[in-house]
Amino acid sequence: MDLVAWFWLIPFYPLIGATLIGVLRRGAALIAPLAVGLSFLHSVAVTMAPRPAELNHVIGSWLPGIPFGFHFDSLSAFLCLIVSGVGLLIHLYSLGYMGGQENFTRYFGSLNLFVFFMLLLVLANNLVLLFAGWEGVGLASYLLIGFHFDKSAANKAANKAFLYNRAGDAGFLAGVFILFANYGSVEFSTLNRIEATPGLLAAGLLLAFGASGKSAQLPLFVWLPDAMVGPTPVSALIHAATMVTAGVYLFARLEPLYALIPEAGLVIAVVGAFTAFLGATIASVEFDIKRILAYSTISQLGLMFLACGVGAPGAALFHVATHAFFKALLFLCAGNVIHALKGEQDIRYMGGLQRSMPWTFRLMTIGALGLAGVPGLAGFFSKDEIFAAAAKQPWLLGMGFAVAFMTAGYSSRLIWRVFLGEEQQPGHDPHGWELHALWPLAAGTIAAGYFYPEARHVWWIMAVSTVLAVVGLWWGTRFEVFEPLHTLFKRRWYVDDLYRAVWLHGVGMRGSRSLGNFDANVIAAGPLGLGWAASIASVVVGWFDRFAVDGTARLTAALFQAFSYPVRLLQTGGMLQYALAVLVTLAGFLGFYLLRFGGRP
Amino acid sequence: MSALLGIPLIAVLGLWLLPRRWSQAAWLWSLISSLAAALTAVQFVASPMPIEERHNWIPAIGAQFYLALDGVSLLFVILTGVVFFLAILASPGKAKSFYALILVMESAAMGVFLARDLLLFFICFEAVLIPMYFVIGVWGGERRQKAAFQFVLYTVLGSVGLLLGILTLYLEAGARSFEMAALQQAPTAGAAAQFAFWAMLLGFAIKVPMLPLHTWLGDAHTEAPTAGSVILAAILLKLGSYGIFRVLLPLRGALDPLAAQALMALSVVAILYGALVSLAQQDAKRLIAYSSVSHLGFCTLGLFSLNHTALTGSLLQQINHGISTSLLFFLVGFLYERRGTRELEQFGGLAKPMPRMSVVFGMAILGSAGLPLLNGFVGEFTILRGAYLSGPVFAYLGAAGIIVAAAYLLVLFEKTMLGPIRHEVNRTLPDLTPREWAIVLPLLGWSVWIGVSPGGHFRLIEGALAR
Repeated sequence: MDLVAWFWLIPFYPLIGATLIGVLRRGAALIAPLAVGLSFLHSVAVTMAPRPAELNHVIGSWLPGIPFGFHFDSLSAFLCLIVSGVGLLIHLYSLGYMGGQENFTRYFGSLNLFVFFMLLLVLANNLVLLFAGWEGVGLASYLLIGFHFDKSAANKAANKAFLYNRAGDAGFLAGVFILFANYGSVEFSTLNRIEATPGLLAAGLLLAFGASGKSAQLPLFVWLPDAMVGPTPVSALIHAATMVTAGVYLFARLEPLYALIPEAGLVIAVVGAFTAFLGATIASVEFDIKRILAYSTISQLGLMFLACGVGAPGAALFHVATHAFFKALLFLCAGNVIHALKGEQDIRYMGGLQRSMPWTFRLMTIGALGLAGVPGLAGFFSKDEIFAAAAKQPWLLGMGFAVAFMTAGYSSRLIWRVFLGEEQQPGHDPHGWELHALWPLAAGTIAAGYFYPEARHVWWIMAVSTVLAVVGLWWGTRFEVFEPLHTLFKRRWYVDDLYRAVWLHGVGMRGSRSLGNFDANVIAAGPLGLGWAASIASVVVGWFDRFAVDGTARLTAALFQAFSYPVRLLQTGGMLQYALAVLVTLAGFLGFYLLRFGGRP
Repeated sequence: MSALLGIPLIAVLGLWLLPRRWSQAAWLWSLISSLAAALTAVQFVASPMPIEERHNWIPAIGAQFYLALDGVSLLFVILTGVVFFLAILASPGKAKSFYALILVMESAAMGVFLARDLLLFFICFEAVLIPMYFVIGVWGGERRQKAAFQFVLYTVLGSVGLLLGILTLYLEAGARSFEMAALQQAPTAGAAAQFAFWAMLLGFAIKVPMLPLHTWLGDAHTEAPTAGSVILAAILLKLGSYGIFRVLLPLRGALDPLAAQALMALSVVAILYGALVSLAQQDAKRLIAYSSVSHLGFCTLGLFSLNHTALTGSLLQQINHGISTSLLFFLVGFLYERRGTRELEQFGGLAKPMPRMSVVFGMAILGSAGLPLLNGFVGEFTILRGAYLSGPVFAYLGAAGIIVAAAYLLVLFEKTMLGPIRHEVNRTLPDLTPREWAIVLPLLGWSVWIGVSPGGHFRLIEGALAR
């Protein structure tokens, strides 16, 4: 089989895997990693093989004017490798982490489904098929956040994630409608060769709104921290390394389109910068180990948006890759810590774990230093590429530096509180997949920075960020945020509270309930009113009947009675009187007859 | 083609001959005959279209028994065949008269989707509604009397409008013919055409139902037995939307662009309003009933957008709604059979005792919520894409509707299938039975088919629209 020509099969291995798992309901431990492994191998083969710059394959038509088509270029290759590669590692890690859990099968089925949709997303040759993957990963995310579906917190978080994503998706769709109407096609090959039209800015912003949902940016970022109730490997794969970078992929895929609308780019950059800042501040005061990492992810995604906004999606993608390594590593190490401490996630109850968990300590420190941007590790290089791209806008660069400083701060705070200091309770290092799946991620965190072909290496930025990282790391060991900022950060800048008041309590509960009452009591009163009107009418008619119709009848009767009164006087009932009357009448007729006709007939 | 109307009617005669004692026999007989009708409908896929069949009926007034089958009619006829078969499959052990009424409805529904003579159309239209009154009133839930009464009240109102409209057209055209094409293209005077349009729209709008004529729907759906709810949702509501498509839209010069915009606005309000009201419901069936208001809002939005894309999407979405909503009503019916209640409060955590049911339920919900690669998305996307061309703001608001749609459907799913088990009796509920699988699988399969590869369906619709 010509693997290059059949590149479009890459997403389908995990789909087949998920289907098999669903039907057979056994063998998930074998099928699921195997399916993702095949996708990975196929991606490697197609990437390595000599091939044209762009591969295209259309399976058939889907919607009118929209093909079920796939497209493979170096951007797809890059993301396919990350998705299936990190996906494979996390499948392997899950073999250990989720082992012995009931619903092991459902877990791997959903995870395979996720990989399918994510690969569909990065291989689609048009916006609408990309959207199918886009909503599909949202579904998989919903299923996995709500994996422990008997806990209502998990269900609430899953619903929240799905709905905030949906809000973004509605914007995404609106953008697609504009592009479709203006250019008659949603294939990337067309969209990336267009001229600017008046609607293009709106379309670009609407698509970016969609991206802000999926990539947990302002204004829709609030779902991601709650999503941490899902199993930790899921947080690593979906909510750190892959799905949440879909927005960045979108900008990279539509780079020529966004180049036409720099205003949209500015908005994206500003949104990214603010989100990065906000995420970093909250991460600095959180105590839940997974939520710290979640806010850190939001912050790092903000930096990627910043890069996309200033027209450097290449730098953003570089950061996607390095972030995938160190953040997945951090999450999986956090998972090991949580496992070792039997579900404890609060860093105030951790400490001194370096003695009982030496390997996890070392690996997680590598991840944290990578995140902090310590020179030599991958995060340093990719972050500096973003800063170099943002240097044209000094204040954006300034915000970036502030974020870098805080990132180093909360990274060292995390390691400090969890592994150093006084031991609160002992843990133990994992073995098997839970440990071995981490090596490639650690290797990536160390080495991935040296494989970026377009590195710019702006020396003064490197110097500044080195200083910031070092000072930040030191600051993180003696961490304090003062009031009232502490409360502001702790309350997550009140964004979640605001949304909760407006959407959940306002529209979702009070609004829908009062609308329901309105419907039941006012609108439904229409026909009931009709019924009322009918019954009132019947009463009126009844009156009319009684007084008018009946009255007329009675009046007539009364008149007859009145007129018949004299007659009644005659009616005495006496037989003799009647006989007399008959006789008199007869005599009268007889007399009349005789007088009139003279006796002649 | 008249076999589509004839098979169920002949089956009714057969039912009448069956001895009363053989209760299972009545069910089996209806099942077999509705299967025969469904298969007859499906086999038309292979034949070239359109097919026509014409007989003189009442020559004195020019009414004909005139049927025609094009791609659109075919889709609706197949939907009718499939849904009635499954509805009967879901209702064993009922009285003979129940099956007889259902089969009469089937025959009449086929008639509505095939008739090209307005008088025939009207009579079939009425003949669907009257049996439904009895199905609700006799076999319904506790408040069936009120529901049936309301249903009839609205129905009569709508029928008066429809009849007045048809008569106006007939008298104005003066052609002594009830043939649809002739009446629609007749040079009717402006005012008369306007009157006919709005009078008939009243009749159809009640059935769709369009806001604010929807309040019969909640009670009727909720109180009807499972088969009744399914047929109501899948077929009866389509009488309205199909009627608008077949009778009203081709009416010459009746709908000016401004009125069309107003009707689009009304549709968008219905999308959002229906979805929000749905979110507040405590009764599973009532929740799905209100979701129909929202979904049919998409359909009418597509119809009144007055462009090819939106219209195509609307017709497909009508089929989609038939599939998804009947699937949901079947599933809620299965729960009702197990628990004797539809109150959401009584469920929760059912994914534990009924894992397979929960997967099917989830797919039904996702199809209804418009997740890509399932049926609902294909229709909604095409409608909104078309609606954008006629009024961008309607497309934006319609797109916002999919957020709320996801909200109420997720609530329905969470409150039934997820969460902790709150009532002990739910702990031991049996999962789907083979008969229930037989009911849900065709609908699920159809949903995935349209979602992944809707090309065949679009070709049927476009073939019909091209003429």
